[in-house]
Amino acid sequence: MKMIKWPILLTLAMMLVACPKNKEKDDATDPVVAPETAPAETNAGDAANAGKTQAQIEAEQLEAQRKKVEEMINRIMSEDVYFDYDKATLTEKARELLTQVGDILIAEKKFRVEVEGHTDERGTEDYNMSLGAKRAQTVQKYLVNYGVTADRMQTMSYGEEKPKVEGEGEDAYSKNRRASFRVKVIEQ
Amino acid sequence: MCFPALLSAAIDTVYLEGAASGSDAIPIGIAEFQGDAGILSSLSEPPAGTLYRDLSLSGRFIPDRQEKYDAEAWNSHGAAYFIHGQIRDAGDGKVHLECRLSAVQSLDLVIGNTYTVALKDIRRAIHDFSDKVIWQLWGEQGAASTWLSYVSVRGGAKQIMVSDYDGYGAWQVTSGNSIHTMPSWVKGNAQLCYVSFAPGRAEIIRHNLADGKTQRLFPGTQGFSPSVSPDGSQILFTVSSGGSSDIYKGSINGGKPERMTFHWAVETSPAWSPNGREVVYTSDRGGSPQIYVMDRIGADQRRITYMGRYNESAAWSPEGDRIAYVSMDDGKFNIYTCNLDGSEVTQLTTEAGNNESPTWSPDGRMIAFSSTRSGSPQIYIMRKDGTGVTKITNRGKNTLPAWSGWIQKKGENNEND
Repeated sequence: MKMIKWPILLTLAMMLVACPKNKEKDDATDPVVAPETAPAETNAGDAANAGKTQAQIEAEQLEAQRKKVEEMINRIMSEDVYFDYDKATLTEKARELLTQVGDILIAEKKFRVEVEGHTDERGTEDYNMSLGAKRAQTVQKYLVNYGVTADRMQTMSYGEEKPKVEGEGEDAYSKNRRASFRVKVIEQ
Repeated sequence: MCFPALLSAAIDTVYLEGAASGSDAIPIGIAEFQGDAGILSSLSEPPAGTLYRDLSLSGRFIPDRQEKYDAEAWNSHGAAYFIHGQIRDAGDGKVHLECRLSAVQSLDLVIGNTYTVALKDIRRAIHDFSDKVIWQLWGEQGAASTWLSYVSVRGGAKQIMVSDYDGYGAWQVTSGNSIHTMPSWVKGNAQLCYVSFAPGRAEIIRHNLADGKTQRLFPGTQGFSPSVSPDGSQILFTVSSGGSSDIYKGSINGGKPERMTFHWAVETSPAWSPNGREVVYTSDRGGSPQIYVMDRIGADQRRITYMGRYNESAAWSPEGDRIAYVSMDDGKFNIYTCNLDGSEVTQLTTEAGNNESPTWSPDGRMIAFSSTRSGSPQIYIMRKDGTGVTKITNRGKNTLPAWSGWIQKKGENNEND
């Protein structure tokens, strides 16, 4: 009996001590960082927030903010052609839009981004994995030159595996030649 | 834990005849199997049909199929031998499948086997007899019992499939709502390596077919285009970084991979030579993708292809003398073969649509590939000279076939007669 009780006591003790900072998040890879949001937001949602701890509320706000930033960036990036066929160089319009993305990232310092590179379906799956990687790396390089620190960005390629639009023809192809962004909270 | 779901496949055999070219193909007769009518009509196809495909696509035979023993037809066909057999109920959900190879004139028995198998194993037994006929009359190991792995789009995910080489018995290997792609067999066919995006970015996975256990071979390394060595001990794959792609080599057990190519260009799509001493791959250092060969430590790099502007996806024939690859011309892909010095380029496919991802049967006699000629990407097999094109998938979208090695045969209850 003694052996069973001891670990339970220890766990309880740890929970009581660690509780405010040690919350589970849906996104298991990112531990929560104490947000800088003003307390006013907390008071406004009192009814909805009844029963939640302060840490839970802050975590939800951070997630809402993260989602908003991600949507903002991807909305900017969802317009227009970013890459010409078989190329990883940014079009003029792409560079324009990326400066807006850069501004957001420079302002929202608690977030990092994963840049995903995509291609249209022409060419082999293999060669398109490399092309997608080049596109993501080109976007990253542009943002670094713009002023976003390199350690806040990661790149990855989906090649032709995750098209935005199915089908053939330049209309579909041009929408698939893109970079998309995932915004994540910076771990500390 | 993933449980393989057995999916049926009605094979849509589209023969681009061509009987086996090469004047050394042997004419042979095949008679419809006799016996229990109920069992025969319940089979996915008549045994004679399975035998016909196995022997015809192997390139070693020109079969002539008849309702029953027909000396006249087979004499004019030039067949000295014929295959026949019967199927009888053995009780307990099993059958006795008798297969015989006999001489047309004398009716003397050359070889015979009686397989006592469950209903679900009848195709396997027939394939085994095809291989026995090939062994008896050619002295070579046939590929009738081998498998294909390929990628199938299922909803928003892509899953790895395995089937018999003729498309029957397809089952889903991977599960989960992720993209799984680019399968490569490990020697012995008990394991597959492939690319999975489940870890968040593309990673190389090794998967145990029997129990579904998986292992991330190089966690944290974004890799694709895996190719397992013929002896099963090593794996090549591609990593993209800093605007370049390069080929890496690692142990099949994981650990730290070593970099093989260092060029600023894209180096990718690696594939081993059958003796494991060399690697064929794609490089675009010349401005567009072309096929190159290097030795297994990355030295002695030399270009193979000089015809066409875009050559990719090379696969080395198990006989060692040719490679198959794809060439894009005017936006369309077709499959070609050539010698290892780039000479004797032969175009194998000429249809509309894109024909990609060639992979060789382990006896070097057949090639599987994907084609959009029917309107959607499907898997096809053909003889190595481009004849005998046969569609083996017909639902959904299926790509990136990989032909297994030789199958280790488990003990089957078969007695030589």
